[in-house]
Amino acid sequence: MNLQQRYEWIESYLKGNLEGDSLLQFQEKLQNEPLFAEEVEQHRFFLETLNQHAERERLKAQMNVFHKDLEKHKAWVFYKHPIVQTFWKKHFPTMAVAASVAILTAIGVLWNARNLNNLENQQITYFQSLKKDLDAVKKRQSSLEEQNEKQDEPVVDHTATAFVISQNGYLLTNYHAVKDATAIYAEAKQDSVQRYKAVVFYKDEQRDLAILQITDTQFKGFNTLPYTFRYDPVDLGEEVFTLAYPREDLVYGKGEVASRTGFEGDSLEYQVSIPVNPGNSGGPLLDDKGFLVGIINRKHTKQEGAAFAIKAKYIKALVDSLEAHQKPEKPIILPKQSRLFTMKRPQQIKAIQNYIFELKVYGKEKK
Amino acid sequence: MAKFLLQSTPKSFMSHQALQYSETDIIAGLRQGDSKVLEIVYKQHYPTILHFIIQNNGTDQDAKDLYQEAILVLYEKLKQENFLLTCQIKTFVYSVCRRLWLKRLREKGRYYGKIEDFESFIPFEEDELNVEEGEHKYGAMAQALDMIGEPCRTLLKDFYIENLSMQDISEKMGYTNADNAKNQKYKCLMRLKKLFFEKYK
Repeated sequence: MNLQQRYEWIESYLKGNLEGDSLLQFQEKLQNEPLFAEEVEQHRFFLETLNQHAERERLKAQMNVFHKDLEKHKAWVFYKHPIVQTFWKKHFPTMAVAASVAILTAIGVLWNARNLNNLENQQITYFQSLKKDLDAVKKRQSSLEEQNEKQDEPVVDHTATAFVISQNGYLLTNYHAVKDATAIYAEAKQDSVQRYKAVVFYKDEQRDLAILQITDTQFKGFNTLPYTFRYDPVDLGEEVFTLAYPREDLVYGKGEVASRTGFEGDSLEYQVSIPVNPGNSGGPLLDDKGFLVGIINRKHTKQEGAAFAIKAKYIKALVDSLEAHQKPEKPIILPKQSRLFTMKRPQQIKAIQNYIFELKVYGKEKK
Repeated sequence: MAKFLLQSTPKSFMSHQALQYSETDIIAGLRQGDSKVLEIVYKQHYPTILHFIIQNNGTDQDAKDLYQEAILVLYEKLKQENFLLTCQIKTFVYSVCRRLWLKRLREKGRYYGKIEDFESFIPFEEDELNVEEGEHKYGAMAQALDMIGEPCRTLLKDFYIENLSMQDISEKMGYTNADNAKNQKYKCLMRLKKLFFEKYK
């Protein structure tokens, strides 16, 4: 048997065409001669690959026909953006390198400054509530008290500002100003001295607003309020002013709206460029024409002349929800008319001043 | 047995032709080598793959090559009796293309660590598809066939692929008799085999 005949024999076996003695002989040889078995396997693999290759070529030819068909219709032509594509191809490595350098630098700087972990904490302490903390006074007084053994008298903890929002005896101030109050007295001492006892009627920690109600028996109600609210947003750069009691007397402060958002981008607030001090908390913020546009509540500790005021819109929202849900016995009626817009500033202040009160907030009673 | 997790993908693109066929019909059709079904499958999923490749730094030629390779993988897998396709055809094809494209990007040094995906996919292992092995094998065969030239190529093709008888072949190729053709075929086959194993090993 020459080589050619041997391959014909192998191919016949692989095709399953061997029968009888020839098949038995082949199987015997396959078992006894490992080299022969290997040769058969190699040939099988070779023929199989030849066949598979041919099959693939056939399929590829078919697919190329389908592809031409697809290209004819160009249904997907919008997927091609050659310009964008080449741009990215060209510049992606450069941009990737630049971006990584920038990121690494930023992280490095932050890391070195050891700011990474403390950043948040620090920012939280950047504002300061503007109630006037009478720590020094408090200490002196308590030491006096000890000396005099007058232990039953409550102590003024701090002062703040409040203003009238309803003729029938409702005042508005900040939540933080009256948070831990045991007793509150509202004082105005411009034309005549008024001193009323008030209680917290409603407080809203989230908006940092509190509504006080005058409960004093002496109180007979206010005259018609000279101002009203302006709910639509104030424009940047608009002149605004505030009146408050950062000390024992009324203080006027003027500035402009610096930003439509407050501390850390808080959309409840405006940022205004009015120099404010502890005690300004709860002071009304009025625009040039004397419309109430907000209430001062805090300032930035690390930034000069950046104070924040809660927008009038949220005051209205609070009063509305209160009226809707609590239905107070005496309704809170927000003022509807303003008499201020034709007046000059000193006249405006004169008209307003009697409706702005200094809050004397008493803390926990000393035993 | 290869096993894939079931994943469902939205059928965003479907030609009206394809709507007549369920996935089961299509799989059965491919198993039988129905070229009409192959055409439907081919036309149905190409836009998805083209979009994927273009969005990931490729050209439409890349998309065509990869897509045809993926269809061949699907086709060959389905021809294996023990293979069970447990996901949608689209997911399978997309996953194969994704795998291949990732590999090609790495080879070209253009892989930046991110692939933009548009479909859910099966994360194939590097060697799970045996594509590399196939490329090697079929590449060697193609080269070998190129090198033996004519009339050997036609002779072998007629005998081994088209399954023509030696008698028909000798008439067609103008050999004096079948034995003559047989001798010629044997010589050609040995040459091809030698060339093939030179390339392949």
